[in-house]
Amino acid sequence: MGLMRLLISLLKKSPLARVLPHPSSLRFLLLLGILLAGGFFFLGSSAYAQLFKPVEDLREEDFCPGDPRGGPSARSELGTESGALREEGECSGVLGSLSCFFNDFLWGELVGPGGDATFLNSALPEYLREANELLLLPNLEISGASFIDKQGLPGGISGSLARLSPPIGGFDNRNDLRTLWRSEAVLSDGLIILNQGDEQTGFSTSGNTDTIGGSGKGSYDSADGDYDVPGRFGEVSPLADRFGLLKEAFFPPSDEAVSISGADCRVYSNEGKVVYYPNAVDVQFLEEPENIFETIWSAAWKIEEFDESKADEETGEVSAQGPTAGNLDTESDVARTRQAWERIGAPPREGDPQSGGVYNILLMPGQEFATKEAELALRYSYDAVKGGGSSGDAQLFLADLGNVEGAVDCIKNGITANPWEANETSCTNAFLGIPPSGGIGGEVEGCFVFSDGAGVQSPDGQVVPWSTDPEAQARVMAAIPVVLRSPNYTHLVCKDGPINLYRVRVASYNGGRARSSERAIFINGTGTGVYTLAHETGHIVDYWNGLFTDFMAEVGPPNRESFIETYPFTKTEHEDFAETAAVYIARNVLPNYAAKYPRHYNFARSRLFGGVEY
Amino acid sequence: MEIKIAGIEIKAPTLRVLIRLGITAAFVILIVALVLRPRTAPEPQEQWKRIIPGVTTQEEVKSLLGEPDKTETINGVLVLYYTSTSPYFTDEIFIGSDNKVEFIRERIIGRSDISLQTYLNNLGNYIRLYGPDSESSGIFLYVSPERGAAYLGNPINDLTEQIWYFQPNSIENLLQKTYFAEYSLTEILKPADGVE
Repeated sequence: MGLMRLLISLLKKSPLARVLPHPSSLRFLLLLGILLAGGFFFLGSSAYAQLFKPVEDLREEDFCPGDPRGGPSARSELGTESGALREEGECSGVLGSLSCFFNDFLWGELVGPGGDATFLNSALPEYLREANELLLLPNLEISGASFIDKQGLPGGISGSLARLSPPIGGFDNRNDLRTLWRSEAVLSDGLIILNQGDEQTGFSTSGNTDTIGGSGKGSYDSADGDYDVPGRFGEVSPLADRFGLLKEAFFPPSDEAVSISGADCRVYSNEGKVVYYPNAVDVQFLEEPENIFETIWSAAWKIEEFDESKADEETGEVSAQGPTAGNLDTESDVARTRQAWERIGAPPREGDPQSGGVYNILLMPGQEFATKEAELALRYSYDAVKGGGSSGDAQLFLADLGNVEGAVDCIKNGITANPWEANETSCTNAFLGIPPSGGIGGEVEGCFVFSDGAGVQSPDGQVVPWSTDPEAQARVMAAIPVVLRSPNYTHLVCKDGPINLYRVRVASYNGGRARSSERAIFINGTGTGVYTLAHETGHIVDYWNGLFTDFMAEVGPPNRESFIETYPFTKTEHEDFAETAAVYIARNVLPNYAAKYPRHYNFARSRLFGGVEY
Repeated sequence: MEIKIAGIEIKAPTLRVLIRLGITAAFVILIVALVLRPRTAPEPQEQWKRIIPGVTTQEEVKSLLGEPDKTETINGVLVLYYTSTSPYFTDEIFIGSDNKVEFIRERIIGRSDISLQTYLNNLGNYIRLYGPDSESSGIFLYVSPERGAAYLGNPINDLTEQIWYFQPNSIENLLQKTYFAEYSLTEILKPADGVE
């Protein structure tokens, strides 16, 4: 009340006193009440609270009553019509509607058609889109003809793919490890395989408990046969930094440390309440690495099958054994990890856009990730058993990645826990019934989706499913890797989302047609080869990349250099742009390209194809 | 003469005065209404370098811009080419059979002030026409028939490639003109390209 008196006193002395009712009057109290009620609804709106509440306050104690393992689905049941990055608040009831009205008014673009305050896919922030693009982006500043060439160079891959690199060989392993270490922050408790030299090889199982590698380093419970080792998952797997990767999927690359607390990893109940909010994980790039980061990644012990015949023997100092021990080599880790990723990245069920792996909500409507085949396997070499070794292709594909929601606890279980202790149900619960990744509604090659054309109107012919012409599809599939040989061109073509390929039946011509705004290419007749696809992708690149001004500056057709002769129809500057790409890829169409059209050729080589020769 | 209205007797002189006053008041109201009535000013016609299509003659063009770099007759229409502000093109001035400027095509690719959205904001009302590069490259023609101006550009990239100037006319009549021949209110389907 004292505060109220002070406020009233100040009001009386202020110029506002002339226009406001007297503080003791009923009108003043009424006005005050309206203002307070409005403020309550306004401040109480969850979107406002989330947007302005300091991120450091958004911690588990605020939202997370407990570990979600075995709990409710990590997938929100608050469906929106187009998929949402996050879902907050409700718009039902008078108060909810009023709250949403304020949200609508203030944050219109964040409010989805379902009424919930959402980040719509269609309003995907640019930085998220850029971050997604960078997941697989080779560093264009580093010379190298291909992804293969660049991936071994420090900084050669600027996207989060680097985070999947094995710590031995590949990329800049020291920095990766430091990042991994730092990125762990608070990971799940549990039993993990520790890789700290010999620290775990010298402990004894003779007592009920034993410390491992000194105080605070872990314990062994002989009664349960559990090793409780506070290890760090960054050391565990060559496929690490899932957190870092997830984080980078949400934030643009930066030299500055960013907090993952800005990424919403919350898990919602069926009622829309936040039931779990993973701990924030900070990823920092340390300029002055400490010795502790000089971790050599190698297996610390070998888990063997329990040998019943030796059960009565004095074991003394042994390699780690457990009653449910299994083959704990890298492959088992990888297999489990892969399983987790597959679930996380699973595409949505047909007609149920909310059902997919959570990473899919980052996609624009109608998009899906490329198939695994479109990505490169990551070669790893892992000394799973000290002195031994194994190697193989760690087939963790970005296409398998899920988004944050539900991924974190799934990863924690799938990656950091010993396989036999992993709680698979955490993933199962999150993605129950979701089919494995691989694409629904059409095969995917690169960023091209072979669409069956259901509901699609072709400009000039009947769209038919590709399955009616498998030979044509095979030809196009063979053409795609050729067209996308250049990483730079792939980036230009694919960075704004998938391109739907439609098969058209028109008797009057053979060729292609690009509807660039819709990112669609219609292919008819025998127009299934490299040249047609290259030309049509040239239109896509023209439309989406703003390179036309540079094209006119450097090539300047038809004044500075004539239109390329091979385009058979009415030549325009924009058709010439597309043809510039087409004949660069389909070199046989214009063998003397460089000599006859040097401006076109040089533009294609340097600006479109990043120096890659065809 | 006397008349009675609602029990009140009004003598003839008074009645005449009242009638005159009424007529005078009605006349004044009419005049005021005519003077103050809202009038819609015609949209100002766009002009280019003081050249007004339908008004400026060929000789006046040459006195304003000098001799053209090149002249050409296309389908019976004289076209004057002048060095453009764009480094990659020349601007074109079409001279009609009445010796007056009929159409101007200014090419502005390469200039810095080519934000399509900015142009369209200034243009006010416009009609979007489809052209040969609309489908494949997203190039549309935004026309203001009243202002006698049109902008050719890509709304995604916010790039303007050309500005057209012409005599204001209805969109139906404009679409009959030669220089609008490739544009339509509905989508234009070219032959599919990239033929194998």
